[in-house]
Amino acid sequence: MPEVQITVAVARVLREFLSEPSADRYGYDLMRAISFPSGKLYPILAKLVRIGWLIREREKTDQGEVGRPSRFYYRLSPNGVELARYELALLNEQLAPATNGLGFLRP
Amino acid sequence: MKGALALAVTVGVLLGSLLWATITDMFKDELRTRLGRLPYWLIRMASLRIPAGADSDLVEEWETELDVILHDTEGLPLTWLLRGVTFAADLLLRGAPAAAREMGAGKTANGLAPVLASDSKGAALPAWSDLFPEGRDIFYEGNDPVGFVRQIQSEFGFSPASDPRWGEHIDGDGLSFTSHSFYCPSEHLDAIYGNNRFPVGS
Repeated sequence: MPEVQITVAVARVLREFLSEPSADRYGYDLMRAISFPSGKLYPILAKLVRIGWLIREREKTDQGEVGRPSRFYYRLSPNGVELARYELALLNEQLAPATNGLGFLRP
Repeated sequence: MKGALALAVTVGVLLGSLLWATITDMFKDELRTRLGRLPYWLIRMASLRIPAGADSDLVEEWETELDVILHDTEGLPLTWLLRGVTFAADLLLRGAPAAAREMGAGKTANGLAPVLASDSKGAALPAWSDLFPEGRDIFYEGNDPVGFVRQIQSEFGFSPASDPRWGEHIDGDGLSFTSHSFYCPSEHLDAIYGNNRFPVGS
């Protein structure tokens, strides 16, 4: 099984990546999207990169054109997409309220 | 005599005021410049908490993100300071030590930490057969289903086309397509599903 404990914080990061699995995401954009401070987000990103769920690469831009050094972006790896979906589904299943087998009532 | 003294006092007060105003301005400039460097200094301090040799591009990433964070706060020095210090101080106090622990977790036999290196990906991935010990239904999404069946048959000894769902025609609301779904036994999952040779998805 994965060498990562799927905490609520990790799950929120994964869910954000899964909202657009092929998108390149930057640290600050992620901080704003999930309201995580830097000290909480970057260790999670480092962990997910280490186990291979995220790919981290430097953007290919010309510093002269964009007026700043190139940033580093993160993207789910192909295996990361599958494993993240699997782990979130598993977490969702574990957190679902127990039923008595009769189902739910809805208005 | 009194008039000369009063003039001297007035000139003295004016010169003193001018000198005081100049020193105050210099002090403000000095403080502004030093406070302006504070977020970057905090990130430099954070880098000291990360194992030597592994921190270079992580610190570069943080500094670049800091540039982006501060970019739209020009002319708002307090916002600039607050955002910058919040970002950098949190990295110093929490982010860098936790990232350092991650690097420790990724140490190899030679003591080097490959954390954040893209070539470390996949190192700790579980096998698909562990995740799906009963096998898994998967979909073929390429343009050569016949060639794919032939390849799987010759290499793994079973035919996806023998699955009744292979080649199934799906009719939806104004949408119809042919689906190529098949059951893949657990023992072949890693070779087929986790193998980029085949255009397989789900």
